[in-house]
Amino acid sequence: MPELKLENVSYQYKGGDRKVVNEVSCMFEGGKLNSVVGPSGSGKTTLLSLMAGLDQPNQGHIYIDGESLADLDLDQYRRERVSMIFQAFHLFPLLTALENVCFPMQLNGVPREEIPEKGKTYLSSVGITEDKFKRFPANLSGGEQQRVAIARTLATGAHVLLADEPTGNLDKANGDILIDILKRLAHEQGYCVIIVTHDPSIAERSDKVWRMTDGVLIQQQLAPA
Amino acid sequence: MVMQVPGAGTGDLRFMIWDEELKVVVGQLEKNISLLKVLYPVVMGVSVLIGAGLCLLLLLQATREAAIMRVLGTTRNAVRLALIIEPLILSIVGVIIGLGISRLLWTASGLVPTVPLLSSAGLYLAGVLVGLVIGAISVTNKKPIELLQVKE
Repeated sequence: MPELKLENVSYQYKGGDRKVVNEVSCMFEGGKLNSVVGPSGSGKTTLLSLMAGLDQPNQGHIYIDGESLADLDLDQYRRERVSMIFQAFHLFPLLTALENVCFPMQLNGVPREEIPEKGKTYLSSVGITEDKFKRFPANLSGGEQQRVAIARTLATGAHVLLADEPTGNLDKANGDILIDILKRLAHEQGYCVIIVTHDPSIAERSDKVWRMTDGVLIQQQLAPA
Repeated sequence: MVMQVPGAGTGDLRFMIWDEELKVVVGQLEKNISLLKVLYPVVMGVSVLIGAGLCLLLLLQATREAAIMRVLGTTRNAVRLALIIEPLILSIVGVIIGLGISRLLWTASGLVPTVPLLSSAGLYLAGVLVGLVIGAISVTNKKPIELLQVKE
């Protein structure tokens, strides 16, 4: 099972007067749906950016499966070991749903002849029907676009999935479907899913909840079900 | 100027040149040519700036796509290359079409080109390349996650 471990991680923007992420130590395990909740400006997204290898901490270390990110090629890390979904979906607007899903496989050097079939399998696994494979993102609903974005993360082969407010642009029904998919990925396929959110209903459905306040991350105790 | 001498046969033509009239015509042409000499570098400068500016704007519009590519693990240099190649190829094709049309027009009219076409095209492409390189560097130096986050 994948695991992402943070050890005394701090981050301060250049010219900033305070640490946005302040000596955070925690462990996100595979097979679990983790939520990071907290008010705007508390450092959640910066933390996500650090875990995604898009920024490097000023202090401390981040480890994936025991390997420090500082020793890894971060582009390769993002291609193969960690993937992200966003509130605004962020699919390539000029590529079809299937082409969007195939893109990471092309980056990862998957044999050309295998790519379309694998892409279709990933799309089907998140409930996208075949008639929508060749639609452009603009011709898909918000829920469908977000599911295509999830299929794209599956196509990377990464088992750590970072989500930044994934249900923010969705209605409740589609939000629930999305969380079900993420939960299934965590529980049935061992993915380490980390969701940054304001939505308390997602936190309620998570296996572990972390609260971020002024750059400090604390695990919250969940009420017994 | 050609005129017929009174009383001469139809085949007996002579050139009669009036200096003053010729001076007026040539003077006017010289003025136009000196004006063009001033205007030509200005037009070239403006077209280089337009080429560079348009490409820069075009790339700034592709900021989001570049950020998605970075998040998916495309290297910074590969994103820059992808951003530069397409508009550069289109610009080269555009310049070739422009040169072809100019040549056709000159051939059809029997005139001789008076401006250095190839160096003009080269200057324009240099402007395009500068705009693309500046745009690609500026787009890929931004933090991807900040570009992709929905602002509250």
